[in-house]
Amino acid sequence: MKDELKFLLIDTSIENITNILLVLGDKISNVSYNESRAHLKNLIPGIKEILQKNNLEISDLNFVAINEGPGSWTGLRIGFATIKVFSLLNKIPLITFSSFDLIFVKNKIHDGIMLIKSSDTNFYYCIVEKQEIIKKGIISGFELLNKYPSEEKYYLEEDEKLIISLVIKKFNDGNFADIYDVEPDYITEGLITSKFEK
Amino acid sequence: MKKDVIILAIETSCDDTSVAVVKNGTEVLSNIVWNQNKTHEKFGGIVPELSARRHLKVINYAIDDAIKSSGINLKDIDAVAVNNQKGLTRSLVVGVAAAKAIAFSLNIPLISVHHIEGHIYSNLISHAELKFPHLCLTVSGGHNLLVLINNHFEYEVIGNTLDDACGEVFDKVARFLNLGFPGGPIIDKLSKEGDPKKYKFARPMLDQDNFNFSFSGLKTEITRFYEKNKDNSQMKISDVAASFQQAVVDTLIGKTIKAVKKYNLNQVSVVGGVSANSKLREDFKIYESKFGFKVFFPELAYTTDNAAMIGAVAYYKYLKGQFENLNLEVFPNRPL
Repeated sequence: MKDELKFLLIDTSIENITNILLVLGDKISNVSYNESRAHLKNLIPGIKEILQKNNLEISDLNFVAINEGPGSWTGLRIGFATIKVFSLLNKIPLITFSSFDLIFVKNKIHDGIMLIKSSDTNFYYCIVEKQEIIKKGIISGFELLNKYPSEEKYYLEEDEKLIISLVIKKFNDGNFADIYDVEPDYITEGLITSKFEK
Repeated sequence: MKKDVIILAIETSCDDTSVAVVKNGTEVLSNIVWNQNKTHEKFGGIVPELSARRHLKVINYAIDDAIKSSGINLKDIDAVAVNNQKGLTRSLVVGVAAAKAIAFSLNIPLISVHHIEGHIYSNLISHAELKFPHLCLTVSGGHNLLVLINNHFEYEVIGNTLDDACGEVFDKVARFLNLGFPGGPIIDKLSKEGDPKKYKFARPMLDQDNFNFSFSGLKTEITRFYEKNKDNSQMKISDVAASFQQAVVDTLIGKTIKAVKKYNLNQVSVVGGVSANSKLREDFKIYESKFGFKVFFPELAYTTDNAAMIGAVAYYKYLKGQFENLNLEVFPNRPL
């Protein structure tokens, strides 16, 4: 039998959706939970279920992968804490992918603004100029229309196949995350501390 | 021969990331603590989101260090224990997610521990002579209880704080007096140069017939006093600090002695971050023989938040087979 890649791909970036994919070559299995603030509760049981169905353990995998965000900070942290430990104890590589990467690759963006909804009124945004990311942040829908009325706007669309091909490419390129220092893409470093400044 | 029980323990309730390896509940093979004081110093208190980020950043370093420095192999670990009760939600989830990933990866039992339970057991690590029943005074930035410890996992809370926990008041007073963060050790050190009898601040609720604490009024008294006298060149900050500290120490000891008498106990265990306070330790010793009890303090390393104490509790839960499912969640406000 041809050696096929086996890996887990998890996404905890959205507050109410815990998504787990197990990729075994061409075969893709999926477990998903739609429950508010339940990543901590559901993530490991979901991973256990999907691996047991396929008679696998974490150490049988070639690598583990995770969406680095942007998205729910606590959700991302639960996913990262889990997967960092998997990687450390089972000595397998960890690969991260960004939701902005997906938009960028899918739309082959040269210039424009990539947008991911962060709340009812706000977006995470990422400005691309000449295929380079020049700025990331958080912006309200109102500000977006005022500040960037004519720029081309690109939104996140689900594309499982594209995510899988992205992480496989990273694996083949040896583009692994540092399993100690890796963190989610929080984006808004400045916002959380400003109100605590004396 | 009885088999040794080795537990990997995790504690991320507040601002310290700690991972320990504990053998048979009392032998601490490693106790790694990544302190975040520098991260929070400039804010004069803990910023929960920063705290959670820091936990995630260092968690693999702490796990790796704890295992390597303990000299054990992964296959030697019998169970993983984690504090999932009492603390900051965002901080707790990092530790719990990591603990579950360990339990699942190594296919070993998962044990949950209450943070205050951890502090109670911190004194059993080095004091085999501490028996049940005994009285436990827990004093830290997050809790301030008087608890009767009747047996393993049999706790009866007889006194609680009605407002700020004792350690929190140390932090707030220190911040108000511009002394820095964390307040406990700073005030302890500064008080050594001051006169504890210089100013007579209130000993809150000491005359009341209960075992509850309330330090919020004392905090207000200090801040008002300081505001009124700060331009007075006669006032020394070290005297204010020493007098404040003495008021807290007298109150803690006074309440504890009342409980010792009422419940007719002869062993007192003082735990938590404030149990490191040198004046509290010194003064408690003075009352030992007079009131016929013996007082126990944890080693300094186990006064502040640490995972060794979580491993100490977990050993007894392991013996009882008290294990959790992998859908374990956090309960940040669950009482003891």
